[in-house]
Amino acid sequence: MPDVSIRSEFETLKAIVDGIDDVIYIADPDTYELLHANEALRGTWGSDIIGKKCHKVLQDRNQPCPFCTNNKIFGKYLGRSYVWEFQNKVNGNWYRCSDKAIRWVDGRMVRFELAADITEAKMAEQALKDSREELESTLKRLRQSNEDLQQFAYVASHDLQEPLRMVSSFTQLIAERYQGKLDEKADRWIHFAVDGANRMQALIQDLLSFSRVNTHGAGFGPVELAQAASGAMANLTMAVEEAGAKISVEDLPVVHGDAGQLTLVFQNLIGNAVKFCRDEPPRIRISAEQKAGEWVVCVRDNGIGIDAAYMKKIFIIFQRLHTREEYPGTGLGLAVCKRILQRHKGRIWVESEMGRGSGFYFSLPDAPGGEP
Amino acid sequence: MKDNDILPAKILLVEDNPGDAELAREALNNSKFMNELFVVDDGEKALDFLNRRGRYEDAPRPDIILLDLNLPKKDGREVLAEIKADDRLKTIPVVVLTTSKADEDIAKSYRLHANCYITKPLDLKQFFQVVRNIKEFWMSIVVLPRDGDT
Repeated sequence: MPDVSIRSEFETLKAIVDGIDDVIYIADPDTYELLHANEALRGTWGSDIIGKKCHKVLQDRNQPCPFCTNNKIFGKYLGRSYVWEFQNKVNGNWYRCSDKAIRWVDGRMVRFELAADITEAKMAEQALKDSREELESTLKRLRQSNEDLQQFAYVASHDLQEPLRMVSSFTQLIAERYQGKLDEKADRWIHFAVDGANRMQALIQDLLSFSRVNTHGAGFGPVELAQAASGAMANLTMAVEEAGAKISVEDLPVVHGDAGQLTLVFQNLIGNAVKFCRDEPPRIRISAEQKAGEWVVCVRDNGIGIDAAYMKKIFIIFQRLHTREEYPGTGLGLAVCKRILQRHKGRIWVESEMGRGSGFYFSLPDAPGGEP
Repeated sequence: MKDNDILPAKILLVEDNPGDAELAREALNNSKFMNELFVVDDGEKALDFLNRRGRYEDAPRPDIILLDLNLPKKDGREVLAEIKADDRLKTIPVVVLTTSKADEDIAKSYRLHANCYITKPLDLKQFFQVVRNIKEFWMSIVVLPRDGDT
């Protein structure tokens, strides 16, 4: 029975087409009338849509859509599918559409569209893009604020120097000319003023050098650490001699870095070792050891040592553990060291026991690293 | 040695900070050489002084000029350029005395024919010493052309 078999084939195809989640429709390219729509489309847009204009039903437009792809599929894309994505303004969903000109049952050429709902994927993609953009803009703002801060520290400390030079110069001049000519109180007050101005000058100098680590660093090149260490000792000659310090330097490697800054690291570490000594003369040993991918340099002393509770704190800017009467200083030396080593992609840490001396360690990558 | 060794050296200080001018005055008062210090506080006045214009009609020709770089109106760099472009003035030694340690300021000053460039020391004693050294070097060690020998 041919009728039955034809009907059964029709039912089969209809079941398949209506079983697809994607939207399928057929429209006449001249009249824009919908000739066929599958269940997915009818379920969303209504069961009475056949015979109505596709632009009215699907896009709520009284005229053909300006983005209609008919000119493509009946032109350049004739015989193949034109695939595109768009967002339907009526329901807000995103679709990936495959449009094609096909021959209809009555022989005329018609518009065939299969459209998959890709809203979820689009939303996820958008969310990812948004969060990436947000991350990038946060990073940009962070970089900007970092630069601003550095600039601020530099300008503030630089411009503070001028008026301070006046305060310091004239208090010194008063001290020189009038010491002992006024009363005892005046002498003491002048002393406090001179001392305060001197300390502030030291602070500003150190703050300047701290802010210059990143902004005024020199380029990287091969640095003989032995030379950096001896340069540092030469700068400390007076203090070393005064304290009667004995310094031994073992074999040190050549590393990649900023020679001036690495000299400053040695100068701060050796200077500290000389300063924070016990009653006996300071003995300081500088050595280096090669570890996996890095050199670890050690400056070891026999000084007062550091309480375990403060071992991290000492690298913080302006952090001091002693009164100025006990040990002078601004509390910036180790913060400068830390910053210099950060610029070199290295680390700095301390191992110490109270009363038994300290070992300051810093690591430097043995292959060229850090800033170019 | 020149005749004017016995005359007080005439020093023109171009400095907008009155505190610095005062410090320079103190430093020179304590120096063993006699001197006359003239202070102007901006670049325009410096050029008026050197060219004896306006209120500086009777100004003397200084033996040496101490010039700050950062000045109101015409800054030290412009003053230096004008002095060194002027045949009558260019023989007067110009000592740039400034707080700037910037490489570009140093290079630019020498390119404009500054006779030397000195950074003001922060410390008072060092500042005094530097001012006296400048004066002793330029006034008693160096031989300069006679006034009008240009």
